[in-house]
Amino acid sequence: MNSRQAILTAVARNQPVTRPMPTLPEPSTERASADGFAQRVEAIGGTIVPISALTDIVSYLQTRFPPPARLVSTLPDLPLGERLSDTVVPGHILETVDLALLMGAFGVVENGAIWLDSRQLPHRALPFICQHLAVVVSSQALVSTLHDAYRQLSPNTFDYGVFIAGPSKTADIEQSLVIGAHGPRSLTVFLLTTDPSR
Amino acid sequence: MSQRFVSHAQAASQFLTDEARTDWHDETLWFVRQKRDKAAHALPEWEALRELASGIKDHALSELSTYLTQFEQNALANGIQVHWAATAAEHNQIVLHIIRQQTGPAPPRVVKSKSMLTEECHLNEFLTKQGVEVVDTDLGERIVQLRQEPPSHIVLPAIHLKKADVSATFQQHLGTEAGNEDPQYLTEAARHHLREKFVSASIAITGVNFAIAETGGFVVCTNEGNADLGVHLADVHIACLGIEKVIPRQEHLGVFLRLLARSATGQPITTYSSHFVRPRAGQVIHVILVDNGRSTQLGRPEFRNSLKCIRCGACFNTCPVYRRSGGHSYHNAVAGPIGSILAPNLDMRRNADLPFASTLCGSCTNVCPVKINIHEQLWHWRQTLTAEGLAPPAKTVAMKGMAWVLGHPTVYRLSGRIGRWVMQHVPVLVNNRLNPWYKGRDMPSPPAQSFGEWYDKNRSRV
Repeated sequence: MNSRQAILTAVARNQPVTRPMPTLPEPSTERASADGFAQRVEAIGGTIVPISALTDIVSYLQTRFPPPARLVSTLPDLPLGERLSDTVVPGHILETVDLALLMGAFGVVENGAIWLDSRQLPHRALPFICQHLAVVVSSQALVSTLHDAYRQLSPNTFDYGVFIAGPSKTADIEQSLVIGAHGPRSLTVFLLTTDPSR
Repeated sequence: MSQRFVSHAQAASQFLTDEARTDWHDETLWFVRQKRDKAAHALPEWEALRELASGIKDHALSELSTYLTQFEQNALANGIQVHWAATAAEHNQIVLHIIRQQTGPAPPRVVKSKSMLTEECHLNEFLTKQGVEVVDTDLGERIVQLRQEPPSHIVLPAIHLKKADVSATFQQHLGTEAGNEDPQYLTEAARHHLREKFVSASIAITGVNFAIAETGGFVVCTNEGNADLGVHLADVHIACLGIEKVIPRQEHLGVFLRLLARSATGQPITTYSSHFVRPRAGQVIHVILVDNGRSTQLGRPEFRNSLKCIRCGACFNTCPVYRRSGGHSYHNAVAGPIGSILAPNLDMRRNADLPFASTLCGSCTNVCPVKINIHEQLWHWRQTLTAEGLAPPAKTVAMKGMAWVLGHPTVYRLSGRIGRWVMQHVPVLVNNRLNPWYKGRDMPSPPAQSFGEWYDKNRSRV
């Protein structure tokens, strides 16, 4: 008998009688609060920049990341940074990126996390290998809790996805919080207060 | 680890010789426990969430064979390669085989993010013996790896070390300035050192926090981003998980991810919660499902619940024994209260001391996000170990003596009187190092009479 069969047989023999599957809570009824999201992002080490149009981003980033900083962006209509093609191989070419600007799918009010998946990422390594990360989130695209977040994510619609909550951090040396462990040293969240389609 | 075996009690008394350091360790972990409390109390539905998480795990374990098969089918359909390992040794062989297949005779460059399962299997030691260098990339794990120590905590691997220790280790291995103990500076040095490793690695090993039967995908949580940096740059991703990590549906992640980081460090969620469903173009993902005693534990009704653990470490931070004895005294990959109920399943004889490393105060049970009855299981293990003849000999003799005294009322009354007389008139007979209850504390002053004597004298008045 191979290990697969041996394990499955032992598990089937030893597992107890079926216990019921609990039901999950109902969706939140209250409107997801943009203020609450902004507070949460700041509390976990991110910076909130409210914007009313995507073009507001350009001057903000140009001042803070002047040449020769390497900027890459996945926002098609902004005159900012390099545009990455859909398939970047390998991820190593991204090692010199100073700032990556990405479009977030939605934000979660209870923990300040932002969802990004393979549909928003030209390469999975990008939000981790860049020195600084900036993500745009529309205030229309907020959910209250993680339960609500998973209701937005139909299974098997993405190959890879990640909740990003703040900049990379560690407290492994005597519990002292240090921002910028291996990943981005900062996270800027551009919170768009008007509908970007307008 | 291959050191000479030292029991928990012996290792703990060694740990306690540095009183200032023990106090610091105790307070640091209590501070983490307080952060957990603050996060938990901020959610009015916290207790309902714990109940829900416990219920989902109960259900998942009761149909584990179905969910494992479903996970495998869906993972295969997603283009992930699935392996099964009955034992730690088989797991290690599979990892080695994948590495050899990938790199051939060239020296493989392997990075690994945190995985308690690979600690349990002693994967690093095994691969090193085979000439494969593995670089741990979690900062705390890298620190202890450079010091050739095991992690002392499942979430905070280097919690037993002070800044000065890390500074000395980094000076020796990474060439940082002598005496510079600034955590910012030391973390920056590690960042540069590990970026080199990430960029040059061809294989990345990770653990798994949750595997989802419904999608065939899995989730890995980190704060540093080290798991992602490793796997997104390497050609091969090897994900190692215990079979108990499978949950039925993706939506269940909403429950577990709300609990995990809040219970662990008091954060509302880890910085990165990464969901791997299909490999990226040109990448290969291997998943290794490991039993290593878990199916046996599943068949023990009184210990089955231990398989619900999501490895948050909350029971460590709250445990008065863990906080004052340190993770290394548990001589097991997973220390603390949860480790003490998992370890005897792996090796009953070697780990027979661990269920006794507890006051049975129950604080672990109270903070557990999936409601494992940890302190009750510690008590059950004591019964099991004693029945197997594995309890510490001194305890067995003492318990037998105690049982004899309590079973003979005349002897009981007489020994009580003798005890009180001795403590009053010749206290030196009990206040000495031969008496383990005298260690670290004074004996109480004895009452003038026993309750029995008092009752005999006073009952006529009632």
